[in-house]
Amino acid sequence: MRNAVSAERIIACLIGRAKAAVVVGDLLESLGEQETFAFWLSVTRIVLSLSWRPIVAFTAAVLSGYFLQRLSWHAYHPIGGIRLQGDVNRLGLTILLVALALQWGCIGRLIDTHNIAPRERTSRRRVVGSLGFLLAFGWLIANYDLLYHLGFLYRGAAFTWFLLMTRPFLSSFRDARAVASSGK
Amino acid sequence: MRHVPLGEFEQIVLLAILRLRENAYGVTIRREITVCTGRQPAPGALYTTLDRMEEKGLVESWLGDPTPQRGGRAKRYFIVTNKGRVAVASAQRSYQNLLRGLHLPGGAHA
Repeated sequence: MRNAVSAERIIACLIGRAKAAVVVGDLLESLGEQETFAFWLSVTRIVLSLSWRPIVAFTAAVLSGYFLQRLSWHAYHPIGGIRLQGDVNRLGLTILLVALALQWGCIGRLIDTHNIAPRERTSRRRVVGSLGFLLAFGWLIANYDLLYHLGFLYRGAAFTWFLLMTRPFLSSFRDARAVASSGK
Repeated sequence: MRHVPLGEFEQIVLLAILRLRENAYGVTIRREITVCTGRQPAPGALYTTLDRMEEKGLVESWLGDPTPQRGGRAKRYFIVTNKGRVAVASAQRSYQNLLRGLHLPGGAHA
């Protein structure tokens, strides 16, 4: 049996409730009442079409982060001993921070680009946003003593990383642009 | 106005919306594309393209009233903005310029 509400909930995870209702409404209108298989096939195709890009982009971003980390390993050898202040290779640290900042900035941009559906202020979104913010802010706090001993440039790079890392999560608190709900 | 490059599918969708005038929403846009081009676009690709074009300011959308035929769900109507019209006209001009002087089978571009 066809369950339009379930399909709507699944699609809503990707594009928001309002647009998901429109998509399912279009499917119901174009497929008629009896075509259960065709309905679910279409839902599956829509879900795949809407989700493969962010998944691939996120995987690529994470893998690129891993390779960037490997590349910067030699320049910034004491990555595991970041508190060895005398041994810190400042150039390597800067490269690492900037690379990570770019990576997180790209992830944030991708998340924003592919989630342009209306976003209601829900509790779940607030929790995700808070956790993400604390994760990034925690990094800044945990490394405060290291930053204290570094120069202005390095503090700036670290702060930029912090801002870019938190940016995707800050979007969890705001309302994205919604589809106009009244007729023209 | 800044020139916005368009992909082939974006042009097709824009032209379908223009042809449908006030009645352009997911189902009719898809049907119009199928009738005019013989291609049946995947629904997901169509919605992704429409969202992207709305982000670019090429189209605008609004929700209509819910209908029983759609299980009480609203239609999302689309209209091409001035920016979209300029973009599609510019893209078509480029095609026309490239076709000029060519003798293609079934074409009238000599």
